[in-house]
Amino acid sequence: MAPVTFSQVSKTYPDGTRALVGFDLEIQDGELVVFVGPSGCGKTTALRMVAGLEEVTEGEILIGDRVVNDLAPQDRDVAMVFQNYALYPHMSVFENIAFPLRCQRMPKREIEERVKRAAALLGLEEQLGRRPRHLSGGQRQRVAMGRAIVRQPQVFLMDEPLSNLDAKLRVQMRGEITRLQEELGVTTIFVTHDQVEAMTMGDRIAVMRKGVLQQQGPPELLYDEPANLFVAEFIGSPAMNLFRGRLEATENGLACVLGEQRLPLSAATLAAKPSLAAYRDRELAVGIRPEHLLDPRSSDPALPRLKGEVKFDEALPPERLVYAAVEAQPVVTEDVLEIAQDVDEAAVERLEELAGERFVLACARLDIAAEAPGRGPFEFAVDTTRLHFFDLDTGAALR
Amino acid sequence: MHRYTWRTFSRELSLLVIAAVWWIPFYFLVTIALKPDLEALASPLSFPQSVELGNFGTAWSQGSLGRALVNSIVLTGGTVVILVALGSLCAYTIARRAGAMSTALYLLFVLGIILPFQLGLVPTYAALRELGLVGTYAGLILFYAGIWMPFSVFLYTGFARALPREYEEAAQVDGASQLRIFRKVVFPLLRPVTGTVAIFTGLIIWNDFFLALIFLSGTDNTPLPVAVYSFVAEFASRWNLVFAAVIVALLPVLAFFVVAQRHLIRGFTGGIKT
Repeated sequence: MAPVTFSQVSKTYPDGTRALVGFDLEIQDGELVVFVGPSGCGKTTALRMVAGLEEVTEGEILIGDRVVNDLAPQDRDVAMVFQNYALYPHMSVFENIAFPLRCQRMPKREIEERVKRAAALLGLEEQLGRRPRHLSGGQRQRVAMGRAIVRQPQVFLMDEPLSNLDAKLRVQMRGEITRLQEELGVTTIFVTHDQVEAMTMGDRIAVMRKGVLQQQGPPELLYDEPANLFVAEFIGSPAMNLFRGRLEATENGLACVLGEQRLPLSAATLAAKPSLAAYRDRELAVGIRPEHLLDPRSSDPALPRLKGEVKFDEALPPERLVYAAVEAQPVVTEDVLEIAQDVDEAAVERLEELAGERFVLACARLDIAAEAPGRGPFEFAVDTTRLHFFDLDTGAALR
Repeated sequence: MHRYTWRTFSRELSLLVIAAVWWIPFYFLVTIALKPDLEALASPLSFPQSVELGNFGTAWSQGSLGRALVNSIVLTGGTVVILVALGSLCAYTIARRAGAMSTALYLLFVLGIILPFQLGLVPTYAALRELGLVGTYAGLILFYAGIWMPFSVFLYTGFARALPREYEEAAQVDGASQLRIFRKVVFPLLRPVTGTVAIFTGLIIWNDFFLALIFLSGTDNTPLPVAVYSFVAEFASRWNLVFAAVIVALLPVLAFFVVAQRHLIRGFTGGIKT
């Protein structure tokens, strides 16, 4: 068990592709850190560099206080769980788990003891004699975990190990991995492109984009205080509602203008985000989390209202997701498009079409117990203290 | 569900006819081998009136087929072991190293498949004679290994290139040395193609007559095809014994093929089962 440090780590492939740029991160001993980001953001490259499967072009990677840049994977004392598990198909489950111990030339009896202990921990006792191809997806995943934990390595590296499982099993295995990691206390780097996985598993999350670390911190911090538009849009499901807005001076201070609607900003909001003062009469991106668009029937009547036209809703007990067209310009920046691209090309096309529109399809998270607002005009109450503001050019959060 | 039509029937019938034509020589081979001397001479094409199993024993002892069988096993086994051991190692290296050198090496091996080995037969024979290897197992095994190595490397390379790198990477992270990775992970994963290389080259070498005649005739090391040939020269008038000898020579190959054909087909068509 040891901390892992990335110090100004960069990776450039021979064709000039920069997979990682000046990556700095310190992972504490026993911590579970999740690298998350869309495809091609460099998260797997960073993980493979720790394993020694990719060379470091610039910078240093330390495991404990040892620089491992030039060490072979065999000498790094790390264990890795691969996306497709990479279980040796010609070996039994026992032999798969025992393989790292045989490489260490451990005595047979100790190997047997350790494998059995790992198998018991993972509920694999009955499967030890079987070949991987006779196992279910969840069992294969456990064998891969078994092979990783049996060595008691300094660091666990997990490369999207849950992506091949069905939704239910994924939730179950998510819990099991977290439990196991806590029990063993081994420093763990977990790579995923699923932000729900990242939010539920990580002590800390590192959000990456185009090889650059965008923000790192505990899940709540990333959710409540995203550093930029990219993180704001990427973290949270449903995603943050983003509007192109403007700050206007009013008699009582500043108001956020979305289309034709004005949301007065309280003195407390302005005090909490002093940099907003510089954006008076300027355009910016305004973000509202779905849970901060409130049901007016059960919220403070003094809160400002945002009008929209309810298009449809989704019952997802204990909440109801209400989708309403709000008259305002959407935010279609490079950050937003890139996240859409990770979903599919059609999402990008939809967003590009929307760029010319004057409507944003906003999502509100309401209580399912309240009566569903029917199709047609509806006014949401807005908790303006929870609004997020971003510079449109740089994407940086305004605080 | 396919319907059984006239078309299907006629197709099946034509295949059966072709199969029957194919089997005619084997019919004569077996029936003549079972006939006593007189009957074999009097009515060679008829169905045997009496069965003479002693022909096989006579052929076995008179033709020194026991010794020839051992020779065939040594020559084939020795060559196949070299082709598998060196071919797989070489192909794995070529498959995993990206670079001009590796491509050039691969092309060199492909060239080895294209060029007829007869081009180099005389100088190689002279070289082996200089080394005192003509007439020995080692000489012919080396020669066989040389001419079939390109084929072995070619087959192994194609398979190794398709092998997911993740297994090797997992083994690296698990702490295995390069040699251990090859021995314990890669080589077992190459099993289907190993089967193909071993069976394919093994069958050809087992049946080879020409090279064995050139390199080994006149010694005690001659394999079955050469031994049968010598037997024919000696017992040309007793076809029942000649055919019995041929069957004795054929049987091991036939048995081997029946057992191993599944591997042969998998090596050509399939990948690894994960």
